[in-house]
Amino acid sequence: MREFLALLAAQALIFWRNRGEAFFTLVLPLVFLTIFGFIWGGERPLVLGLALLEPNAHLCSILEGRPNLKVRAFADRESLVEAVRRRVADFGLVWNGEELEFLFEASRVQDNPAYEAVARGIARELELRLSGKAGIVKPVQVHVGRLPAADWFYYVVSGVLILPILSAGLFAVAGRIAAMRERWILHQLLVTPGQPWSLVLAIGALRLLLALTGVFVNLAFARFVFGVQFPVAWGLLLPFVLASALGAMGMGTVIALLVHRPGTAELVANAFLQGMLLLSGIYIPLEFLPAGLRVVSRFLPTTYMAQGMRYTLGVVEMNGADFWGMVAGLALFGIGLVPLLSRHVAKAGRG
Amino acid sequence: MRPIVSLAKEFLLTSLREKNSLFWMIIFPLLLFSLLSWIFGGLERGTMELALGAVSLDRGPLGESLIRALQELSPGQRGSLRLFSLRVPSAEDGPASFAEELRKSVRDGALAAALIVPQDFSEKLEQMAFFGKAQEPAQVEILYRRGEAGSSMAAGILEEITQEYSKAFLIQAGALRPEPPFSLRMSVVGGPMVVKYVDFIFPGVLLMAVFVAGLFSVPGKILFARDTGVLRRYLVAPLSLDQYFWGFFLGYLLLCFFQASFLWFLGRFGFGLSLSFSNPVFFLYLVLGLAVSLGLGFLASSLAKTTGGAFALANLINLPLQFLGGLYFPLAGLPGPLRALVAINPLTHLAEGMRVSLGIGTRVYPAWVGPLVLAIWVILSLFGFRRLRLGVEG
Repeated sequence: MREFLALLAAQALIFWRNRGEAFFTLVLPLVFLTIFGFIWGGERPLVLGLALLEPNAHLCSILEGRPNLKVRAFADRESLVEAVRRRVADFGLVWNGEELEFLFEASRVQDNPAYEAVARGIARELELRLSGKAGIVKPVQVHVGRLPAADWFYYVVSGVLILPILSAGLFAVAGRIAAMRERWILHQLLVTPGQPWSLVLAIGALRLLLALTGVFVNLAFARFVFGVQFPVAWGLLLPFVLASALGAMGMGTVIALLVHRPGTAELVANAFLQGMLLLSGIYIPLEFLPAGLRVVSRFLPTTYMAQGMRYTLGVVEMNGADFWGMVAGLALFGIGLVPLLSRHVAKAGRG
Repeated sequence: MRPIVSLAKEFLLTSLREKNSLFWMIIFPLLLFSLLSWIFGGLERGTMELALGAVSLDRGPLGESLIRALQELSPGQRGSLRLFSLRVPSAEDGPASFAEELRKSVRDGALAAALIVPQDFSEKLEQMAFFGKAQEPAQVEILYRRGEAGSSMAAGILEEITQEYSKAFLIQAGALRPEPPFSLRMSVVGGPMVVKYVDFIFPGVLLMAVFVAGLFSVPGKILFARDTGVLRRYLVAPLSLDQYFWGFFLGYLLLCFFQASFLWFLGRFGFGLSLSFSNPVFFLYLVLGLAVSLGLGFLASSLAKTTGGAFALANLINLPLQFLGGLYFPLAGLPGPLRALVAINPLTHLAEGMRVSLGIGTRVYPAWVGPLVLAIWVILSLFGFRRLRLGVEG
């Protein structure tokens, strides 16, 4: 036990001194949350610039009936064009008595389709009102998701929370063991009476602690800075984080076994991490991926880790059996590779 | 001049040979550009496949005709548009139990959204067509998961199709004239037409590549050379410190030329990039981007005591500056303090300047603001450069 504790303390010190690793595990997720929180946190109404060159009571009443629109009035078309161009207004509407014109800024490539949909809805409603008709069908959107107050930021936060787990796990093995070998620390440790597996356990235990710390720090940050409150199922979250960290260490083990140089192992782990983050529905919804990439995403463990994290935070629904199957799979994957890793450590230490 | 060229060649070759810098400066920008262009270019062309469901509980025929209208828009029915796939009940399914199944599928995430047409749909539509405003409209239920981007988009699509259907019904019933009482125009400002995503993202990814190369090259090359004693060895050769830095700058310039060429080639032949680079102002901004990125690299290196510290500092400023520079998506509606950060971010003005010069963007800030902010950053960087201890002063 003393040997294990000494190794654990040494690993903690090494981690603390390696600023790059500490940054990726503890600081980077906070940086992401801060940026995304300010950009996407909270639901912002769309700003519609309105240049009413001729009075139109119907149009005013239609716009008043849309709570997701914040209307800003402009005296003429030119000032409205300038406001749209400078993004003071998200899009513009000009009514001159005969023509209904909507203005969109050319480079708002991702926003314009949503603005166009709103514009078509306004035009359709105005057409009915001017013809003395009312809408004959009323579509009512009913939220059937698990979390009543969810917005896009809830999905982003819960996805970003797997970042500290992945960093703690992947870089633990891929970078740390290879680096210890290259700097001859591993050789020195292995000529002591200690066993290779106690070193592996110390590295593993530290990484589990780091993963848990990372998740809790980020959850607290999202809660106190951005007011994001998850109905956390703690009984599910704890085993999930531990199993995911073990799974990530398993992935790191595979990389360490395939790639021997520390720089290269870290690079492969980093490339792997970046690719997985983009294709796992963390930043970009899975529905938006082309069919080919969606197939790739099904084979990425991070896709399931992100969904699992959302489930434990009460954001999405998931079958209980699927969840526990995933937890067991991730944990077994990580634990199953420990003997292989111990042998690898011993071999590397001798070599 | 020969020592400068030799040093530039050496910098370039080590950057291309060293796996880490090769990945982050060349391969990662190409991968990111490909993925973003593939994903968002596909969305732009409407090649998405949202999983939707629909069922009609209607006692009359109109509910079924609405479902048929939806089916006509699902894949293979309307040219190359692949917006959604539609799950509808088979002959054996009871409509009520299928509606429950849809509700569960949307809740579990198996479907993005679902439409449920009520029992009195036909009745209400016919009454409305004959009696006008006096009757209540028919309510159709659109099930979705709020906040989830794909699900919200799917719900929006279902709502729009339903509204178009009701308008078409009114026209067919003779209650509404086919020609609207006003003309409708959708105009684009700040450019002749809506910008293609691949064109929009090209300057963003190019700037990211240039920025990362500049920011990390200083600690990665110069500080590393200092710490390992290589720099001292250089300077005992007949080579001045100025020549060393000019060689470094030229090498970095060549690296950026490679980055830009590879990205352009991939964009042009892989994703239909249609930008024209005839405006020399674009290249001016590119060179300014090089200067500012290197300058920030010097500044980060001068503020940190060690190479590791310089890397950590560079990492800390790298992503926030990229995201708050509008490289990947246009920024709007940010809160006050963040707007100020965006305004002093050099990448904001570099990206804006590049996009304006390429004809795919409009100026958000007055024309003098960008050059002023960039000039301030260059001056600050010179300060960092002067402060940098290279250990060769003695």
